[in-house]
Amino acid sequence: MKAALFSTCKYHGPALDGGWPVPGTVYSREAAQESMQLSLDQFKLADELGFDWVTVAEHHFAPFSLTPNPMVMAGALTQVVKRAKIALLGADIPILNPVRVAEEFAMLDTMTGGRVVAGMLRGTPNEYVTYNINPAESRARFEEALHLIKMAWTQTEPFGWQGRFYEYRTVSIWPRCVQAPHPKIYMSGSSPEAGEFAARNRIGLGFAVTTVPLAAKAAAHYREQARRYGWEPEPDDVIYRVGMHVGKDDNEALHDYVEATKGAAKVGLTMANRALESAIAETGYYGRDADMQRQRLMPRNLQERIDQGQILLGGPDTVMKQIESIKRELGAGVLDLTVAHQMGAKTIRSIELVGEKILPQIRHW
Amino acid sequence: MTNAQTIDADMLAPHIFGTGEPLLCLGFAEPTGSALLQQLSASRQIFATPAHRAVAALQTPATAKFTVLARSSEIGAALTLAAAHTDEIEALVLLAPSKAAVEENADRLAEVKVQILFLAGTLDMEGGEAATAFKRKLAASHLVYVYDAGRDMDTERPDAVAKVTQDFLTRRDKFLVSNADGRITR
Repeated sequence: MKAALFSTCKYHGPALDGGWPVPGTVYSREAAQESMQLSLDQFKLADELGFDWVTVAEHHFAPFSLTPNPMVMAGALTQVVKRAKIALLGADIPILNPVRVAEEFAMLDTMTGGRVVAGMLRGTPNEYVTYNINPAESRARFEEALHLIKMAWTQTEPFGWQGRFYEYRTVSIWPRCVQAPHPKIYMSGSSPEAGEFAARNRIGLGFAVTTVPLAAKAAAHYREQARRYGWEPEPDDVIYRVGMHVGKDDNEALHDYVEATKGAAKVGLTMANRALESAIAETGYYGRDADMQRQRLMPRNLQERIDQGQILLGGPDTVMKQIESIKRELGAGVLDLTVAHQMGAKTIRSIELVGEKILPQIRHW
Repeated sequence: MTNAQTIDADMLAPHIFGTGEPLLCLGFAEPTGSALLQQLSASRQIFATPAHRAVAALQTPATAKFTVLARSSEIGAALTLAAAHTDEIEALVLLAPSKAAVEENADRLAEVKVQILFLAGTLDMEGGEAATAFKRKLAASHLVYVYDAGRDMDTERPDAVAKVTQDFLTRRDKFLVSNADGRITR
């Protein structure tokens, strides 16, 4: 089993609470710089401790994440992370220029000597407001953009593209990817439609902001569909993203986490603006399993989050048991461990404990 | 007499419709029922004919400048025409080329001097590979993928094929540059 360290590069400074988008009225430039440096330092530490991947992601207009363009952060990471793979989970390709995405991934793959993992996501619903893209077109844009990106990576002759959403008269990217034919691709797989598309196109699947039971059900659907298309996903084809805080023992971990999260926002980006989320739901964004998709995004209390596999919390032995449970129920080959909350030295110690006590054990699973 | 009238309509085919510069269309079984040709006929005079009759017609002196649109089975005929009628044929648009077309026309390509646009559907692996092979041999040609279409792209995505075809026929190599506000003329 592989482990990744994921950070949204959260902003640690003064900010107005709630909602989306979040105004910059009380924004601190200094705090933002320190927050970015903190994330770089944590990724560097993870690399030194033997984490298999470090992970960045795209989110907009909120202190939840200071990486609206994760490619920029990944560019910085190429100079800091010398061994681990750099995973972008991901680029929100329906709202971006696909040719630009292909170029940026190819640059990163070249700069790292082929250590890039290419997550291609639809993004959270609110992201469609960011660049004024119709959320009703999300899935169709995703599928076309992904096809175009793969073509840009693999077609050596200049080519044009007459698509449904994208039109280019000539494309011939430089540099090209180091990994042949291209970096490993993952997509978000919580909906049945996503699992079916991933299976049809032999793409890996990632689960985030969900629960282990829901992810296990979706992963089973993915594997069943893959068999229909004549292949069997490997463990590494399934990523599970989970919050994580490891302490010396259970009591310390729980105490520190509860103290640190007092007063913290209890909703993620999607549900931070309910009116907006509701409007996007009306466009059919969630697909045929909309109720379940929206349910998985609802806030849960800490005990529910632990029970449902949304956060690994405790001493190393307890966290090992939680990971065993995820492995058993979901069959994930990659755990994308999210720094659950920034607690200064305690967060650093949490990452170190994973590196020292947990990675050596799960590496052989 | 218009340019179009200089082509012997009787020898070509009974399927002549539309107005504008002449566009010789090869390989369309039901030309008047083709959504693609109907769209193109808004600005082109369509001459849809079996390829062998087009070759015969073009043996006669003609003063018209015209372009050729050919479906997969008639790509060889279109290239033959282009090689033989360098003064008359200005450009080719070739849909869904095949591996066989690449092999059969390899020796002819050196004689083809006109501007060419190859269109391949993204669902048509053979067409994509063949168009790529042609593009390698004809560096000045253009290759455009029509997304979500197979070998029958003209029936599957007629709007998309018409758009890129019309743009290429009107502006030739200049079609590489966005012309959203129509400032670029041929």
